[in-house]
Amino acid sequence: MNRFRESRKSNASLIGAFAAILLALFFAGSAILVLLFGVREYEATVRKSSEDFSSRTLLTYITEKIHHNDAEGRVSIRTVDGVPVLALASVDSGTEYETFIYEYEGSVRELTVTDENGWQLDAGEPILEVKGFTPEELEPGLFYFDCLDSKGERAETYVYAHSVSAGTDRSIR
Amino acid sequence: MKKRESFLFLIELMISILIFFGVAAICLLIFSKAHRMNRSAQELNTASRAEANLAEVVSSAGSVEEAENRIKEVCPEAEFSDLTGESGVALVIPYDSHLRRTDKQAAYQLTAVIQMESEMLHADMHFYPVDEKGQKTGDSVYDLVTRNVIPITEAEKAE
Repeated sequence: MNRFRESRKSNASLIGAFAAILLALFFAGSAILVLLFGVREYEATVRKSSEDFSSRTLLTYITEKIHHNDAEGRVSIRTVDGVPVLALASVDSGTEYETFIYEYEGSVRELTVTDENGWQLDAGEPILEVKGFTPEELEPGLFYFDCLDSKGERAETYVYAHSVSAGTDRSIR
Repeated sequence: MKKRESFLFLIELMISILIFFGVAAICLLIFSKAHRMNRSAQELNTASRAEANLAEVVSSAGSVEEAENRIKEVCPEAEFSDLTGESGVALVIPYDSHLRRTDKQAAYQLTAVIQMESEMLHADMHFYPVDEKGQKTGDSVYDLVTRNVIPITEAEKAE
């Protein structure tokens, strides 16, 4: 009889320990799940913010540059050594400057020169690492920029330079 | 005595489980709010960029027809329709749930009405979520109205 009671007692304590371990495991599992949710949200926010900071900041910068230089014949797309280049001309204190924005060796680069012929593609200052950057002039004055950043995220923008539009002036009807 | 101890242990266990569920519920609410905010920011970002791009393309055109042709060139997914009783054109650009342009099932739509009024090219753009039937299911994410003066061409000036 005594042996039977002892055996029941030991079974009960075993079940109690097992239940406590199960509960602890459930707590740990739930805590990990909650943490994973948090990590996923944080990761998505950081990824979006870094994406906005990289390619979109570049495209906004280019858009502003074009609008700033939007005067007769000052914005154009050229090809230098087979690379399409956005060229922005400006005049400061009587000196003519030309700013070139282009992709070379995995970076979008910017270079400002006074002599538009005496420069090499590698002379530009890298402003963003990218996998691809394509500037195009779709119609006279309508520019298209496509940027594939180092993480493979694509961003594109259209910019219209009013002054480039062929055969038009800024007169209002 | 032993019964009382087990009862206290049970109460302790229940309180800790309740606290745990309370904290977990608060965490989940916060994460769900963060997810919604993140999604709203993505929607707004996509909508404002898409409408700004469309506005740039429209502003490069000198007429409604030219705007329509240019949009067709840069955005083959756009569907055009004539406005009933008015001159101009309406267009719809479908976006999928990943906020990318699509020609399949749309989760969002960018709609625009382009009209010529008082020698100005008007574009009225809206971006909003839609259901499987293309019906609007929520508030507009971003609206943009542009008015562009059509410049005189050199040929017109000579006339």
